[in-house]
Amino acid sequence: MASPIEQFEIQKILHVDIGGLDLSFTNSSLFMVIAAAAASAVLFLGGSRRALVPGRLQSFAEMLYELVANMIRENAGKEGMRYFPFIFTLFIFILFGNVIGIIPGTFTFTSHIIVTFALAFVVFLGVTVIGFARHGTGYFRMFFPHGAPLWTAVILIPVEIISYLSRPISLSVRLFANMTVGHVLLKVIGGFVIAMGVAGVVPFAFLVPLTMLELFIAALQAYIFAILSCVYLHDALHLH
Amino acid sequence: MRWGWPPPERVSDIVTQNDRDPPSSPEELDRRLREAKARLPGAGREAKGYEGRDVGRAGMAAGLRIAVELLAAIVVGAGIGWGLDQWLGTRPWLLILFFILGAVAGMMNVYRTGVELDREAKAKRIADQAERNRGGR
Repeated sequence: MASPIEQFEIQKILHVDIGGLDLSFTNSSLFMVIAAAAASAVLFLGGSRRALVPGRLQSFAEMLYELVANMIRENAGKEGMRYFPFIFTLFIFILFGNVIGIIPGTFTFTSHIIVTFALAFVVFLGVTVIGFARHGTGYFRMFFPHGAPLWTAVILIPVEIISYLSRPISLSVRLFANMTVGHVLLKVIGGFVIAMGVAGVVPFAFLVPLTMLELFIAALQAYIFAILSCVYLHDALHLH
Repeated sequence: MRWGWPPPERVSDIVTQNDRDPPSSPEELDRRLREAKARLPGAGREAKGYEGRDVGRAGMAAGLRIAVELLAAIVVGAGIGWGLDQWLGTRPWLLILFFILGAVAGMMNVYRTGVELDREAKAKRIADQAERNRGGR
């Protein structure tokens, strides 16, 4: 049976070495390019006709726009709409990466923690910069709830700082773990289908709803990543 | 936008000739869309079994979200403690202290996520209600 973690291996397609730094173009990079290209194609084609009665592609593009716009308005407030392009790009990139990854033979770049961590860290840095730019040193009030007795600061401040620093970790681990676990599970059950011969119809019957579930999770995790970015953005704009 | 279930057997049952003519105004289009939606089989009643499965999956995702939140804070706390211990040579005291602080932060994260999930669920219910009201008017 094929190893269930073989699918996560990074393979170099084009070897690039700049000053001892390995910047090779890998299968992971390739699928990032594919995800970005597919997302751009869908949105450009969907947005090009501007029909009053939208076709399929235009409906899809409009649906994505409305989903993210509503998400930002509900979770980050009206001012959050300034950051719509960033949240939308983030959501679409992760969504396409996750969904394309379900197609057999492709590579899921969101199943690598370094990728999800880089995305989460950009959100974390961005939100922190926005917070300080808006509130100056007043942003430090994030770490001490308003109206708490002063002596509790000894405990509350370290706890709040840890809680704040745990954001990029939880954001990245959640996406990475969900994608990795799902793909390992699919591969293991897929291996059973081959190994069991005719009796393989039984695991195959499991595989069908499981693939549906993975598709659901792929979309949901992209949504959760984006919605949490909005929640953090809200904290930076309005201090809790 | 949610379509009725089971799907219509023939499109011609749903779409009338009138619908095929170009609408005169956006309001006219809105009105026609509402009427066409009302003609869909299953309009007006909730597709319960279908909906229920999604709730189960979303529940699992919510559970995982909370578990990761708790773990991340403990890991960060323990990491800070370990790092400070290495630096100050106070092994193992700061690791113990920051592990506990991390656990406290994790529980706070869990509480906040709970509040957050509650708020999201409420916002969704209100949005669904609004959608239904718009459709049934």
